Amino acid sequence: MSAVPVIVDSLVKAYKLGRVEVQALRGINLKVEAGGMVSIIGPSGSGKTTLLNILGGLDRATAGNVHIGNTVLTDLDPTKLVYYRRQIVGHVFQTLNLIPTLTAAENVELPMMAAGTPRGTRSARTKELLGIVGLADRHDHKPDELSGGEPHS
Amino acid sequence: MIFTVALTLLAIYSPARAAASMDPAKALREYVYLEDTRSSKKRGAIIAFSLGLYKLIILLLGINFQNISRFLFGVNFLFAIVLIILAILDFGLNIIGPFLFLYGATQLSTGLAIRFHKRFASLSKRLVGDIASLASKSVFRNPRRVTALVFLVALIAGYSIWVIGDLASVQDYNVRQAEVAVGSDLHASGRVPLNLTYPVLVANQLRTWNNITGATPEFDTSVTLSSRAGFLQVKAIDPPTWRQGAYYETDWFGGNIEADFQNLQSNTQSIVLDRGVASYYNILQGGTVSANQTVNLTVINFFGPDYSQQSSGQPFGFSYFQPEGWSFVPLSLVSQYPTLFSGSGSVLVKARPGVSLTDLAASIQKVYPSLTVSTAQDYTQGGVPVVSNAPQASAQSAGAVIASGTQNVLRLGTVFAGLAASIGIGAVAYTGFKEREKETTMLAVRGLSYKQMLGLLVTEVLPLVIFALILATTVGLITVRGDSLAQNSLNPSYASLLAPRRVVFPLWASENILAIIGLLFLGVFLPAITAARKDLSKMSRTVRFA
Repeated sequence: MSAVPVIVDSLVKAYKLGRVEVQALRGINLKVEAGGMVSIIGPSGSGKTTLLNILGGLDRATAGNVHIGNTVLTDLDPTKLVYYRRQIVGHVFQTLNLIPTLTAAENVELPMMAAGTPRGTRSARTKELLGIVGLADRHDHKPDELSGGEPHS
Repeated sequence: MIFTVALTLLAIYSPARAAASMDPAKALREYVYLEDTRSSKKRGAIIAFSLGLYKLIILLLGINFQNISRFLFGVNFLFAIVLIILAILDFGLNIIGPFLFLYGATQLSTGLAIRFHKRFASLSKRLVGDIASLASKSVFRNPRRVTALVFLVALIAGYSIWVIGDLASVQDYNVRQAEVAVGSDLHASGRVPLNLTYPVLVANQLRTWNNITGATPEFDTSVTLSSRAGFLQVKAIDPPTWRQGAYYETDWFGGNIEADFQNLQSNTQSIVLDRGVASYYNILQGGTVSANQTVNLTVINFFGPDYSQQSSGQPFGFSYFQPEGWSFVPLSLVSQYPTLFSGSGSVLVKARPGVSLTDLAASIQKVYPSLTVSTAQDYTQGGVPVVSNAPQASAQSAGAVIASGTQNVLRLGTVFAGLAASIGIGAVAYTGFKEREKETTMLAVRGLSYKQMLGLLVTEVLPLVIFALILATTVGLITVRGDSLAQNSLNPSYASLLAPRRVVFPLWASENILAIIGLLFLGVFLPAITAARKDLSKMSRTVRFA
């Protein structure tokens, strides 16, 4: 898939904590050009993860719009969001969030399995991706057998 | 209650101890799934399996140690002691034997279960794709939980098949014994011995009734066969109508039943001879016997079981044989020689399915007040009380109600056991899924759809349930068959030899068992459906904080 711009328009996210409503995002506007790279910096609790979760299709906005290329992310139904997470966006979490029973190669292969990619193609692509991050020789290691930084690769 | 509390304590003790002994640094860094890699206790499992297997073999062979007294006389003293020890062991294993087998088998067959699971997963790939192959990896991280789940399902399903199968088998046996005793659904006889004319007339009239499918006259008499045997019970029957009006089982008649009845009809001087008599006196098919030393009858076939070995003996050097069964001759023989045969006529009646025998008996009684009508229900213990002229009817009715109530309680008990097992399996499955919520959420994040997630979770648990059901069905059927054989060996009367207890699963029994299996499957599917559904707000929280 080619690079697409990301446009965030008046994004609001409010959580209910008991009877209290907490506004994590209050009308955020953001524009990232296609192929651009952006760092989001802020104090703890300022809404960075909330914003990324919405951009990653892991959370719903309370108000506002997010455009990923021609797609209005905030309008997608759950089924389309599954496709979005599987085909378009990738996630690297603060915590490892890998599947502990699967090897490094299987963890990489998982989204392709979900997408129904044929085994041969999957295997070649997994090899290529692990090679890029220098984990080709660790492909059959499980997450807890990798060193501290390796799982983030 | 105590059992539940004990189970709960056992269930939480092990994980709590494991969590307390975790490496804090590792636990704080990331989500850690505690794999329970301890092997199950082999020694206890082997003992349980061996005892259970011994009991199942005994059941398969139909050996009943309640008959031990028959074998104790005349055997070696040491052998007698061994037999007594085996009888005591068998008594103890009567109830728990099959369960010990299931426990041992589930504990020892983890390897087999893994192979079965992988094979099932490879089959379900066609439905849910390659994702299915991940199922076996997840589920066998906790072999003790797997064996607990398999044992729980096998225990309840096996117990249900056993109890329901035994109930159905006993009920079938009681009904057939009653039909054998009565001769059909209803039996109408005179208050004084009837000659042939009136039963033939009544049968002809009853055949026109809407709630009757068949009626046939019968004449019970006895004859002497040459000088060889004592009195032989004989039923003179009307070949064209007998099979519609009387109760019989096809395998009671050796060979071609159609040809036998045609021969009986066409040849007045023919007999279907009691097999026990034929066997004891070595009378062959096609041979002749002399009835009351007057009429020669051609033996066209044999009837019933060969009991000659059981009814004969040689006490004090004298051999004896007691005929217990009966033979069939055509009614035309009795008509032809009316002075030769003394006995009593009656009418056998088959009711249309669903018709109350009580009501039908009352109707026949009303139209033919000179007849006494008895029904098969009078003889069954699980039936509904009937109106009849028999003075013992009220006493039998009370017994019937109690027996019926006990059977219903047992049936209800199995359904409740199924419901409890379903909740238990659901709880085990749900706990397992809940424990791995982070993992399943990550699978959703990686792009697994709801359908794929459901397929994966079901593939994790379903093969275990199917494996357990195969185990339970095998054990349940062996137990039901063993119980039937054991009872048959305990009660070697002629009627029991003729219509022995057998393994049957009528519609109600199959429905009960299927309902319980359905509940067990529900216990698997419902938690999977719940766990596969990933709410978006919950998903973001899980990946952030878990």
